[in-house]
Amino acid sequence: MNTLKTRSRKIRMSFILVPALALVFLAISQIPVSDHYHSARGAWEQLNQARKEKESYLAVKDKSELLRAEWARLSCEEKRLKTLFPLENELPFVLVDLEKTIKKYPLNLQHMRTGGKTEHHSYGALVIALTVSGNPSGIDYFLKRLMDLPYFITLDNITWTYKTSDEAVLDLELELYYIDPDRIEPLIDRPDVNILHDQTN
Amino acid sequence: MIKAFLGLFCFLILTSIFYAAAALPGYIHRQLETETAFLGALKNEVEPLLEMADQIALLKAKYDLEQQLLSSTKPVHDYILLVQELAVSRRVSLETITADKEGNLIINGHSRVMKEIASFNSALEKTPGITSARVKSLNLNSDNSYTFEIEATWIKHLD
Repeated sequence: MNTLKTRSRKIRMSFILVPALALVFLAISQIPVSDHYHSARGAWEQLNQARKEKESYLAVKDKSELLRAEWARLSCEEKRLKTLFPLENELPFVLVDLEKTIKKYPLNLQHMRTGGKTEHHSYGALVIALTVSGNPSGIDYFLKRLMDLPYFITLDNITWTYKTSDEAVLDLELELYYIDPDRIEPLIDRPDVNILHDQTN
Repeated sequence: MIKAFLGLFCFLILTSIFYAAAALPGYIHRQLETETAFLGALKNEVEPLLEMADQIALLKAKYDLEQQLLSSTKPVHDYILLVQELAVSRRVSLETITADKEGNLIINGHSRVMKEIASFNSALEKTPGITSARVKSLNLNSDNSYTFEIEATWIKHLD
């Protein structure tokens, strides 16, 4: 009988103790711990986020050797490639430079007009219609040297018309290739920096 | 006696639990501060690597594009210059040369001697890269010269 009484008392006690303990833990988890984290639970979530960010940064760090090797391979070509394919926003400057270069030839630049753009995945080509006139040997020289430009260009729809033995007209479409940096696939995904942003804010 | 001992024991256990629970937020906060400091240092170390990766991606895209275009684009102007040279060597006067990147080449010109036009056409046909060349039209003018139009096609690089 006594044993039964004791048991029932214990059960009653546990009915009081367990919710009381739960309430205490809940209250503690809501205690503000700093200005940044409103509660212990919030701080715990932030801690987990920080750990995840650390993992993603460490993953980048692991690839440092690979990146340095790739950089060593490509950096010797950096200057040439930078000019060879300008970025889309650099096109106006390139056009000015192109016009200046063409005007250096002993030819009469009759017109230079930009046409449409053909866009592909990460690059595009700007069509420039050109008409130059002058001595046939000058035009010959111009055509030979046109491919020496620092930009990657291709020619299309070339028409060379001989007006007289001393004068010829050259019509051509020049395609100037450019890169759209926003469409280039990144080598490494940038880790989120929410924690550091939160800290600085 | 035993009851008192048990009571004290339970009191101590509960006190230590409450103490641990109260210390938990501070512990988490310190952990978080440590992690954030480490993350900041790591970020400073990794940021240049990420910039390098962006630069590499850009250079790689440019390099790949160059290789792709070199293998797929045709040097149209080479054929224009070649026709020009052939015409001089075969003593044929040119009026118009038209070429596009699809491989079409149209040559209009004239010559006093028909044999020179035939020789010019034959030389064109034998030129590496030019797949076909045929005289599309040939007209005798009032001054006994011949006006011709040659249609040719090309597909390969000259080199």
